[in-house]
Amino acid sequence: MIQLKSISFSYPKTDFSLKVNEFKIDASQKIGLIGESGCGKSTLLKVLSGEILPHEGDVHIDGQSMKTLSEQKRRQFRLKNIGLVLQDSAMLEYLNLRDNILTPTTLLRLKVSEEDLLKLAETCGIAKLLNKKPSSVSAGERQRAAVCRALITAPKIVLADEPTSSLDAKNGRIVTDLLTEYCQSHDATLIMITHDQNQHSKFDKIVDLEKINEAKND
Amino acid sequence: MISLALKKILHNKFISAAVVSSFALGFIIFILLNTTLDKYAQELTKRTEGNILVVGKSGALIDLIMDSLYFKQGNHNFVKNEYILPLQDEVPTARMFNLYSCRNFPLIGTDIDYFDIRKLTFRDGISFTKLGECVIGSKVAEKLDLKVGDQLVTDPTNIFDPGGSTPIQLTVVGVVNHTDSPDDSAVFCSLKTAWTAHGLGHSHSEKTEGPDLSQKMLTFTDENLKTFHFHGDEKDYPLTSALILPEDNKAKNILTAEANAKGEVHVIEPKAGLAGFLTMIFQINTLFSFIMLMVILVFLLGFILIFYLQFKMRRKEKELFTRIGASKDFFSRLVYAEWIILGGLGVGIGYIVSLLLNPILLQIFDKITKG
Repeated sequence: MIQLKSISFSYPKTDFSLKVNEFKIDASQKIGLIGESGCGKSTLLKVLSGEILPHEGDVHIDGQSMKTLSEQKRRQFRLKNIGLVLQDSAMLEYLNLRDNILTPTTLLRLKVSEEDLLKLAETCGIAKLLNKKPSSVSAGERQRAAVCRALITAPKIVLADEPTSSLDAKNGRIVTDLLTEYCQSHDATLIMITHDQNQHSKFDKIVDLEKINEAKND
Repeated sequence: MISLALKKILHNKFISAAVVSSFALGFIIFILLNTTLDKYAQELTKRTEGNILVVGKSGALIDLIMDSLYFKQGNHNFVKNEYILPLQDEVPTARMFNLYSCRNFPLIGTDIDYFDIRKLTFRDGISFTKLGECVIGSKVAEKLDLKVGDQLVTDPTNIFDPGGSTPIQLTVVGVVNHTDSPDDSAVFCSLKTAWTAHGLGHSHSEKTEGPDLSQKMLTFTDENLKTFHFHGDEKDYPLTSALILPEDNKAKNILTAEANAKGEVHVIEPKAGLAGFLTMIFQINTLFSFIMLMVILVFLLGFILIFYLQFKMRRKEKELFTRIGASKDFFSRLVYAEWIILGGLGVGIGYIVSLLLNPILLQIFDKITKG
């Protein structure tokens, strides 16, 4: 379970602030996070992943307080337990898709069997593209590779920051399906920022951040 | 980390190659420059070892040393034979007259003591004993394909000047063993033969051959040798220099002091004479090192700029690593690793290329300095 308790965060020299009093996400729940641009959705994901610490309050993941962990421990925690899918399908252009997917396990010094990698790549429909560089595959294939990278450590939580924003409807649907199906089959929690109302039915719950953010960002 | 760095390096092949080449080139220039200057200093001092002293007319020390030790021609500060002759009674002396050449190899008129002083041994034949005989260095023999019994002609000084010296034909009677010194590229003959080339000796039955002036040549035959004679007093005949070999330091100091006190000739210790020159070489070396340091500094500033730009340009890559869960300094360490690999490769390649180029450069150096 993920629990946010009276958190507040603001970026220096800006008017933006995030203030959430109480927010709970049950294990294996699939949450679609919506809200206007600039309302703090990406910031909330960063708080949830432990990338940034709230100025006040705390985030608990399965009872583990993020605030009590050192920066190094939070990093390790994130690598092991949280899979991140980023908005612009950021990839290391000098690595092929295989090496890009294996980046988190390389950082963790974990060995992944070729069989497991291929199985995941096949699920994501990119098994034949593993030796290609990101620049030589389509945007949809890049994002599917980014999904593979997020799932390679078999995380308990998947955080996806608008992973379909730069994709067409078909590819957007494929990516959403991949993430929701993974969480379904692995009892993992998914929090995904989405603007595609057609996909809302695939989530257990849609949360409008503007409604839970007590700070007003006009 | 290393694997990631290597993949990045291989991805940017051209940039990587440019950085490696810069490192390699800097290293190669640095190594080769130092090796060549060291070799030059070594070559210069090699012939000055032991107790050898150079005797000649006061004047340009470097010219005198270059003339007597390295056979560089151009010393026209002749010293009279009579000033050197008394030395012969005291120490092994090799008078030298170095003004002419044979097919561009210097013709050294000298005493047979020269071979003892320089510890030269014969590969073939014997030393010269008669007028018109010569002993050649190993390189002369090799390059001109000459052996004992072959003939060699001195180069004309000025073929359009009727008053110029007449080329003389020499017979090779000996070839000295290779010594890796200027002796290998010299032709040795007696002083009288060299003076003949200078026009001081002649025979009344001398025979000249050839249809025109340019082919006019003096040959030595049993017949004309009988009537061969020199005009004037041999004591007044010119020498370009002489080498003397005192027994020990004491004898060396006495000889030097005595000769220099008389003022007729100047006795110098070549090593001391070259000291100023060597200092100049080392100063040049220091200057080169300083210039190299500046070049390296410019390179470094360039690299620092590229390094800094890399952090700016690869901001997204850094952010990606950090967001996935890499430590804050992971990206910096990755960039350092890339540069260490590139620098290491550059220095390694530079070292190997230096090793390969060094012998070639030294060969070129030898060709330039020894002919």
